[in-house]
Formats: sequence, C-alpha cells, structure tokens
Amino acid sequence: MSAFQLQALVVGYESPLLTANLSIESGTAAILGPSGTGKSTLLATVLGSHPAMSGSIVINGTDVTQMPIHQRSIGMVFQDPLLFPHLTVSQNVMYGLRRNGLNKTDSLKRALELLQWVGMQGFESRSPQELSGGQAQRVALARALAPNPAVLLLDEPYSSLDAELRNRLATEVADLLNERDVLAIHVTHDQSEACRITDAVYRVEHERLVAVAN
Amino acid sequence: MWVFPALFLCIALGLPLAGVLRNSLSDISAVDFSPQFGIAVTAGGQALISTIGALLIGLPIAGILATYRFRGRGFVQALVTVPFVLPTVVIALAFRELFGSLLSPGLALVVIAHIYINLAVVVRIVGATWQQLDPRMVVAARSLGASPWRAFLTVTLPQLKAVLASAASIVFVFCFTSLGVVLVLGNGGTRTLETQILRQTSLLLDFPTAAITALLQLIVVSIALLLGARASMNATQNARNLRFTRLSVIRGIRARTYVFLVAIAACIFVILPLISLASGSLRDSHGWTLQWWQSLTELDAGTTRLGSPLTAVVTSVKYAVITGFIAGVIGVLAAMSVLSHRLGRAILVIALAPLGISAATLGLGFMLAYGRPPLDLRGADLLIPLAHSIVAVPLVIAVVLPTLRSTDQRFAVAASSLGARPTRAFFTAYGPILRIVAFAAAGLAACVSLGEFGAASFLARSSSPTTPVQIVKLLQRPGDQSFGVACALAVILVLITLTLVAAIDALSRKRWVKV
Amino acid sequence: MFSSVFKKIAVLSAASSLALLAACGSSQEQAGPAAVTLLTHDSFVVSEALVAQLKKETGITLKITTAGDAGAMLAGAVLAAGSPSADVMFGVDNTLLAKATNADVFSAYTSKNLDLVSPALKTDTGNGVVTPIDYGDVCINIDDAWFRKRNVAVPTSIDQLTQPAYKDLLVVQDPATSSPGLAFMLATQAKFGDQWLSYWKQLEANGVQVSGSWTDAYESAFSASGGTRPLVVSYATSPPAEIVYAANPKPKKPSTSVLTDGCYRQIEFAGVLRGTQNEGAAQQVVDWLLSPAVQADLPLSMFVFPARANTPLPEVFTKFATKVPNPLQLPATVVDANLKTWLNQWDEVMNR
Repeated sequence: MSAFQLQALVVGYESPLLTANLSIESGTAAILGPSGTGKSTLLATVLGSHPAMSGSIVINGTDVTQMPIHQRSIGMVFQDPLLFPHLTVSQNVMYGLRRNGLNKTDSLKRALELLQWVGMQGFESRSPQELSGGQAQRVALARALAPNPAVLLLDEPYSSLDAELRNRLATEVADLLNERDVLAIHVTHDQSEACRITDAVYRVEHERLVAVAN
Repeated sequence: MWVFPALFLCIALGLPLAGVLRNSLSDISAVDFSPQFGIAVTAGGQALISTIGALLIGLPIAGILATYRFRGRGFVQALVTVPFVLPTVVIALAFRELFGSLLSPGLALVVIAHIYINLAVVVRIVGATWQQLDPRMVVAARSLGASPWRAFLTVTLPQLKAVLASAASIVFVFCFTSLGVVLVLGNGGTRTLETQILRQTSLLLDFPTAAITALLQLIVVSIALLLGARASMNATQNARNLRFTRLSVIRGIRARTYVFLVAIAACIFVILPLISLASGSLRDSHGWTLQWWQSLTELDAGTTRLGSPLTAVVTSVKYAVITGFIAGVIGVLAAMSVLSHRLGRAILVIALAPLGISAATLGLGFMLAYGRPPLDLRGADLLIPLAHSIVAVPLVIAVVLPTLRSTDQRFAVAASSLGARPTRAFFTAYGPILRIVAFAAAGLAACVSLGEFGAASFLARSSSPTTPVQIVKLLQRPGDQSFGVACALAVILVLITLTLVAAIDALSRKRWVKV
Repeated sequence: MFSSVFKKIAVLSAASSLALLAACGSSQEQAGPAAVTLLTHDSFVVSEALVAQLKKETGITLKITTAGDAGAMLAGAVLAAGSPSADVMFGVDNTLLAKATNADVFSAYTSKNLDLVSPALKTDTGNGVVTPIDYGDVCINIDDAWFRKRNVAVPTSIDQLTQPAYKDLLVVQDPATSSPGLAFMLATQAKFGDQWLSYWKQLEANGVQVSGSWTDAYESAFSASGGTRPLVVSYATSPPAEIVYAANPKPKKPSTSVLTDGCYRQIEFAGVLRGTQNEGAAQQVVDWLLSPAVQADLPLSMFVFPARANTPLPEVFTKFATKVPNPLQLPATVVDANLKTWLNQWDEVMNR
C-alpha cells in the first residue's frame, strides 16, 4: 500500500481538465507541464480547496477525497509565501502547531527549531513585511512542515524569485526535504529544476499524468 | 491639493456653524449641563448596541459579497445599500407597518432600524478591504489544521481589525446622532442629543443650551472618529499587502449552503420593510388599487396641492446629479490629501467631522449664512446640493480611501522612471482607477442626496420640494391618499436608488476598483 | 512629486465650482422692491393662482421659502432678528408668539383689515406686531367604528380617559417633539390647572401610548389607519381631511369624529419682519394673506379655519368639520414663562 495515491482522480471546473493516476511511497515527485494544463487545479483538488469531479485521493490508506481541508494532513507552499501579516515570523510557524493542539511553550520551541533548520534563526520576532521574497518563502516552508503533514504540496514555490536565488533555494529545499524524508509533490514548469531535485517526474500529456523516465 | 477641500469645508461648513455659534453663545452662564450629560450616556449605550448589531449582521454579508462570485451578487450588494439612502422617516414608517403590534416603539425598534440603515456602511466599507484579502491566505490556514471558523477568527478577522474599527466608528456616529428614527420609533423615551438640540432650538428657543449640547455631541463624535481614523491609518501601513484578487467560485455543498442562507437572509431582512411600502402604495381602504400610481403625474395628485409628485422626483434627481459632482470632486481630493499629506490623520478627522454635525444645526446655519445678503443663495439650485455634499463627502472619502491606498505607488514611480513627466506618470498610474472610483463615489453621493431629508426640509422652496420632503409632507396629512401616494413615491425612490447603486457596482466591477 | 498635478486638478475644480456658484447666483431674480420673500413652515401651502394674482394686482413677486417646522422657522428668525433673510413671516402660533415678540422679530404692523377678524382670535397680537390668519383646534379624534363594533360608549370628556373602560386606547404625541402633542399637554394644563400632572399620572397608569410624531401616532397607531388605538390626538379638521384625501370613490362621511372636550386652540399669525428693506410691500403681503381669496383658499390647503369672519367654507368643512364650542387656550406669556418647567415635569411623570 502506497503512502500517497491518486486513483482515477478527475479534476476540472465545468469540464474535466486532467485525469490523474499516481502512487508515491516516499521522496519528492515533480509534476511538469505548461500552464493551463490543470497542474495547479490538481494541487488545489488534492489540498481540498477545490472539489474533485470523480476518483479518489488516498493518504496512508485513508480516502480523504471528501474530507475538509483541515483534516487531510496536507501541507502546502504556494507561489507566494502568504505569511499571515498580522503575526510575527515565529507566530506564523507556530500557527499550525497550535491548531494541532500543541501548547504555547512547546510550539514555540518547535518553531524555533524549524526556523533554524530553514536558516532563519534570528528572524523570529520580525514581521513578514520585513522579509525578502526568499526569506519569506523559507518561513512558509517551515510553517507548512511544522504540523508534520503526511504530504507536502509545492506549487511553483520559487516562480516569483529571480533565477539565481531560485536555483539556490530549490537545491537547499530539496536537501532539507530529503533530510527529513518528507513525501512531497512539486509542481513546476522548469524541466531542469524538476530533474535535478526530485526522485520521480510526471508530465501532463493529453489530459493525463504520464511518468517520465528519470 | 488639500487647500481646496479645506476651502470647501470652511465655506460650506465653517461659515454656517460660526453663524449659529455667534448667535447662540451670547449667554452661556445659565446653561444646565447635567441632563444633557445623562442623555449622552444613554444615547452612547444605544449607539453601541446598534453598532455591535450592525457589525454582527453586516459581517457575514460583507464576507460572502467580498469572497464569492455567485448569481445575484450584484443585486444583493445593491439591495443592502438601499436602506442607507432612504429617508429615515420612510424607514421608520415601514418598520412601524411591518412590526405593527408585534413590537411597540422603543429602544428595541430603534436599534433594529439603526442596524437596518447602517448595514450598508458595514458591508461597503468592510467589504472594500475584505475583497482585497488574498483568499489563499485562508486556504493556507486551513491546510495548517484550522477549521473554517478558526481560520476566520485567526486569519481573516485580525486583518480586518482596522477597517472594522473605522466602520464601527462611523456607524456609532450615525446612531449616536440619529434623529428621524428616534423620533418616530423611540416612543419619546429613547432620546439622543440630536433630539435634545431639536427641542432646544425649535421649541424652547434656548440657543445657549442648544449650542452646548451640539458641542457635547461634536466632542463625542470627534473622539469616536479619531479612534476610527487612528485604526484606519494604521491599516495604511499594511496596505502594501493588499492586492486585488478575483472573487472565487463557491466550492462545496457547505459553502454553497452558507452563501445561499446568508444571501437569502440579507435579502429578506432588507426587503421585508420595503414590501410594506410597496403594498401601501397599492392599497386603499377598499382593497388593491392602482389609483395612487395613476395620480402621480397629475399636477395636484387630486388635492394634495403640493405640485405633482413626479416633479419632486425630477427635482431630487437634479440635486443628486449636482451633489454627485461636487461631493465626488471634493471627496476624491480630500482622500488624496489624507494619503499624501503628513497631517493625513488630522485631515481625515476634519473631513469626516460633518458626520457628527446635526442636520438641524446645519440647516439653521445655512439659513443664517446664505439666506440673506450679501450671499443670498436661497432658492438657488445650488444650496441644497451644497448641504448634501457636506453630508456625502465623508462617505466618498470612506469609499475612495481604501482603493487609493491599495493602488501601488510604484506604478507611478515606474512610469516616471521611463521618462514620463510627473503629470503623465500620475495619470498613467492613477488615471483609470481614479476615473472609475470617482464615478462610483459620486454615484454614492448622489444616492445620499436622493434620500436626504433634514437639511432639505430647511432649504427647499415650497414650490419644488425634494422627494423625501414631499413624502414627509404627504405623511403629515390624514387620509388614504396621502399615505398611498407617499408610499408610491418611496417605492420610486427605492427603485431609482437600486438602479443607481447597481450601475455604480457594475462600473466598479471592472478591473481594479471595489466600492 | 505629484503635488503639482494635484494642484492643477484642485485649481481646475475650484474654478469650475466657483463658476457654477456664480452662475447659480446670478440666475436668480434680483430682489427688487417688488419682490417679497415669505418665510414660512414646511406645512404651508397656497394655490399658485393666488400668488399669480398678487403679482397681477400689486406687482409684488412673492418668493416662498420654508424653514422646517414652525419652531425651526422661528428659531432661524430669532437668530437673524433685525437683519432678516425674508420680509414676512407666516406660521408663528399662539404657543410660540411670545418667543418671537421677546426677540423683537417683528416690526409694528397689523393688517388694515384686522377689524374683520373674529374678536376671539385677536386678543393677543403681540402688541400690534402680528395679524391672525387662520386657526384650528387640536382635539382627540375617535375611531367610531371601533367603539360601535365593541359596543363601548364613545368618551365625551377627557376626564373619562383615565377610566378602566378606556385602558390602552389613547395615543398621544411627545410634547417636546410634536406640535399637536404640545397643544394637548397645554390643554390639560388649561383644563386641570394645578391638577394637570396627576391627570397625566392617571393617563400613564391607564396605558396611554406616547409617539414621537403625529405621523406615527395617526398613521401607525390609530386604529382607523390600521393600528390598535381608537383614540388619537389630532386636529378637529382631520375628519374632513380624511374625506378629501380618501381613496376613490370618496366615502359619504368620515369614519372618525372629534371629542370636543379638551381641545386646544392654535392661532397662526403673520407679521412683517423687523429690518426688512421692503416694509411697504411686506405689509401688502400680510394684507393679502387676510384677503377674501386667500382666506377662502386656506381650508382646503392647510385644513384650518380662516381667521376672517364670514369667509365662505367649502362644503366638506360645513358638513364634517367640528366647531369646537369652548376651546382651551393659555396666554402666550404664561406659556413662554412655564414651558420648560412643564416639559420637564411631564418628562418626569411619564418616566422619560
């Protein structure tokens, strides 16, 4: 039994955009393809912010297709960091921990660990407005991983950064995810990035997900 | 840039008020403060309850309108605005018709009517900011384990804190200074400082006490507005986070049900009292009839001798257009100076101050300042729109400010760095937005003018009353006809307003601008 | 950087607004000696034909401006006493007359036709500054059908209103915010003297309802208009107004009647404002208000009785308007001296 499975999952709005069959045990899978092919819609459907047309999403043996977002145990890093502007950096990371029942002291402790892990120690009490794009995206990663989600979704997380920073951050994050053995799905349109940092690569072809030999 | 709005305020507001003060502060030693103080406290309590109620009911409506795209959204948004621009006397009457024996006049009815009227303020002002919050922020919170309700409390609400404070301060001021609603629905027992001012000026002619009461009212109002302005200026610092985001499609059965229920409840709440007006226009003592509508075009409406009711509609529309122009220009200029001047907060408070000045005082002041040589504007078509503009400018500012704030100044910088002259740069950046938002704001000002009664009753020529004045005159006479024709006129006013607001919304739904 | 732009916009709009202002100012007719401004309250109505006739006969162009209700109008006039914004004021009644005369609002003139006014109406002309133009009585109106249906006897005096048979049947107006409400309070003062407060205490105990305005009391609370209370403070001329403003086909007779006890007489006056530049023309307008044509027009315009004796009344008045035999009235100076105290006492007794 795989850790993460998409079984004939059909995503789309009025009409189907994409049918996905996918099974991942561990590591990072990349989904490649030009924009408009339904990649982002697929992630939204997996996350639960958009309803599936048919098929199912199974995580660790549980069918989560009809579950509300907050019960799915899926983390997400968006194209923009989307840090909560009214909270400090550490409060942002603590947010998911607090929602999962951790008390204030423990969640602060864990948040500081995570911030150190993403290389953002010393920024704990800053406001998100004071961070650069790359810094904010690191915090967003820490925040998404804090509650230990079963799956992490990354939706072109570096697309708003300049090329040099993008490459550096992509490699760093890939290493971090490897180190923690996080099961992640990474959507991108950058083929080289996909091949460099991920274990398996899928491509959208003719409204289907097709595995690409690595 | 701030010179012109300031000049306008001085001429249109300062001069009349100075006249009232000069004429009334002759003998202040004999004034007894204490009763006014007690009334201020009671009125403050009433205003607080009304404000909380308007926020609680207005928030869900603002939320669905700011978040989702759905069929009938434009209608709901326009409908919710209607109560705000209806003459308070008409609303009060509709409520009496609706609740009849169910709820006798008193505090409860006053509070419900205040909530009804101010729903638009909450929905419009809070909605303008809410619409600029990134909906993905909530999705992010949800993915971190927050339930929808939790995500609202911990992510959406904190980001709305500033705008809630500013909306609350405006609603508070409206309820604190309420006159028409309190007179008709207050059972004589619920009083505000405004009703006291009325009693002191037009019954006891005790001007020193009236001036002191007006001053006390102005102090409370200023404090409320200052608190609101402080909060909303703090929001400016966060404004860079705000960006225009598209409305999203409703997903999932639960969201669908929620949006449906809120929209339906909002419509029912707003429409019910209006239905009692419509049915009043279609009934006489014998049953259903069209005769009130048929008599609208008659010179005399039978025997009312007030001139044809439709003439009043024409007069109102004319004044509304002029008011829209004046208040639109002044309001936009004032909003721009609030943003760019280092004394922004102070300017904002002064520009909003007209909210707290009683219509009766304003009317009296206008009469004194402009009613006699050398500046005898009385009967001129400009006087009423001028007074209406004073009432409308604060709302224009409230509409324009959030949009201007969220417009990134970097556009202008970019444009000028490419070699454009500052003028060109300005218009490249602000031109399209400004044009649309100015139209929208002017439209709102026109709506305010359509429904304004207090100042118009002081300044109208008896041969050409505005529609609200005409309605009230009709309601001051016995007989089925007076009531029926008044209801028909009220329905026309509702329809014009609804059309105008819907047009504004359609205009502002084009890229960039949210009203 | 943008300030220059803003300045341009500001100057432009300032210029255009000022131009507008100037245009509006100049489009107005110049107030020459033949133009008279009549300041009045917002219930004033006169037929346009009569204004045209005045112009034809005397050359006077009459401009009518309203200034809120009678009290608000007077407030404006008092504040501007001596340098008025109008030439003639109509609509001050016997309740407020002393306020006007104390503030020296009027210049000395009573109409040359004052001798044609019924004697009872001209006992007080503020020492020769105002002319009575019309009068009316504030009385309790009765929804006859309500009493007939329940077989309850219609009250014949206001003393009975404190009896259990009339519990929860009366609606009055707050004297502080409504003119008929004030008149009814003065009526109880005139009728019961020192005992007036105890009368109100009994009314309160008997479930009297207080509305903020005539409109709410009459249009909403009064059972003849769909409310629940069959007794309301209104005017003696409300029943004929019910006929005139009724739906078609007009009923043969009104369904309401008047309780002729406890009625308070209101007399409306006109006077020349002190400081006017058109003394002579202003006096002519006061005379015009008392002329046979205008007097005959008043009943159906404002539902009042003309002050000029022997003015023919319209049929609806002769048939349905109740003549009150002994209306109550208090001297203007007494009202002026005590009004504030009475209002406060009333507030206290009625728990307001």
